[in-house]
Amino acid sequence: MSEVINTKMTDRGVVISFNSQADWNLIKTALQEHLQEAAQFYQGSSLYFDLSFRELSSREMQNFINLLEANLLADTDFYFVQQEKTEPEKAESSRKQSKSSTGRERKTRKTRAGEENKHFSPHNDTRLIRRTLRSGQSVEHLHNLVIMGDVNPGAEIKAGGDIVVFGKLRGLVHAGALGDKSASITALELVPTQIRIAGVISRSPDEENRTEIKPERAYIKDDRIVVKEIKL
Amino acid sequence: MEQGKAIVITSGKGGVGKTTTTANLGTALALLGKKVCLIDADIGLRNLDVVMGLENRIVYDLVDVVEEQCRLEQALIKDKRNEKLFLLPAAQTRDKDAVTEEQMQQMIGELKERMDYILVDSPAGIEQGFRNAIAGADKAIIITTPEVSAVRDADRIIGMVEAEGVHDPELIINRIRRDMVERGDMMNIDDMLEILAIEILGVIPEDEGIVVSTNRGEPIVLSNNHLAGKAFNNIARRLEGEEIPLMKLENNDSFLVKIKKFVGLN
Repeated sequence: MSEVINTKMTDRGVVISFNSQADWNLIKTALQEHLQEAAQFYQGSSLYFDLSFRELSSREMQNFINLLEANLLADTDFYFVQQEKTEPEKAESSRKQSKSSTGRERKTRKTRAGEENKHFSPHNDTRLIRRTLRSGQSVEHLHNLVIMGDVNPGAEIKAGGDIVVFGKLRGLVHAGALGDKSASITALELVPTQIRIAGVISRSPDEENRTEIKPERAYIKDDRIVVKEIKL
Repeated sequence: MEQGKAIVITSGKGGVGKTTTTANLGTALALLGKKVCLIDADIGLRNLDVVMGLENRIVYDLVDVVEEQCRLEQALIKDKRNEKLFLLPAAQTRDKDAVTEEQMQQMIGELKERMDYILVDSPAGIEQGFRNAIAGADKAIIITTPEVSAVRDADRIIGMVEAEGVHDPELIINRIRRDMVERGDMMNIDDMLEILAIEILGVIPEDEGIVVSTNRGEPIVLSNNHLAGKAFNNIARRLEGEEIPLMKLENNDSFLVKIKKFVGLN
């Protein structure tokens, strides 16, 4: 029989798909073996699991996630992907399942970037992080990102869309990371080490003595990043 | 062009002044007109960029270079005060396993083509990060402080450095306090050299100015009125082959006091 698991390298990470003819248990065993061998290799990269081969019940989904979490190293991100173009209805229903079953997970499962994005429901657009990001921690999201907490120096946040920080933004911040020049960054205290919007980079002045703390918004104007106070 | 020299700065124990030494020695060498690249090998706990006051200029880092997300020269940050000085920062959101020894070796090999000195700031510990830091080094500088624990770790590290084929490491003793040594409350230089038995490259006195300079991101060698800065400058000149005696930090006793000590009257 043909291969149970298929892996494909893409510029975003590795896409793993499954033979739709294969038995579910066989797939799980094969996947487990594969991940045990390759966990090191996948460390730090992003894995995209193509689940369009069949519909999974929420129990199967939970099972699947447990298997991934048990076999992948901590900093490997994994996402679930649907081939929505071919079977939009089926994809829709199984995505809802995956959403409900992953609701308790700490990591956010998100769908692959690219043409699928426009099919996204608005509910999936914004990711909310309810904690302070400390040095060395990073958060990335394809769409908008809201942080309820501070972003300390040494932390990094990156979003395809807008970024809002309800706290002090002192780390590195990148909005419109996929090239959206209309993206903006808003924070209650906007003092990032470095600020990037789309392809424009700006850094904080080397000598800064600011006394007044006020909410500000940064955006691109004439290809430069400008910062403006926002009136509340 | 003559190849540059790669020097790893390491200690085993944390907090003894590896990063401060790297920043100051690098700046001092650049002040002597040498082309210097500092490499922060402490992936995940980077500090050298902060101590150099260059944190906000980082776009690419060492891991980006290794993973070929950018070219080496794109990741090199030119110092804001000295155009002969460069920093290759560590990644902050990754860990030590993001880089292998072979990759470090290759990168340092490339840098040696265009720099006079490459100073590698090693992380504390003896794990992968340390092994990455000494990969590709031609020479090692061991930092210790006058504490039994730091000396013990330095001894361990000297053994490991030699086992990796980096011969004749040299010692810098940091944070020595003359008054305490004189009172016999602190290990003196000879005590440490007796245990470690390697060449001494320099002695840095304890200096409050270090705290200020580190927090400001301005290496202390840039200010002329600090003893610690002078000590770092001397070390840089010794690396360049000049013969400079160690700073007088102890044993200023008169002959009579020495005799008294010797016979146990003091």
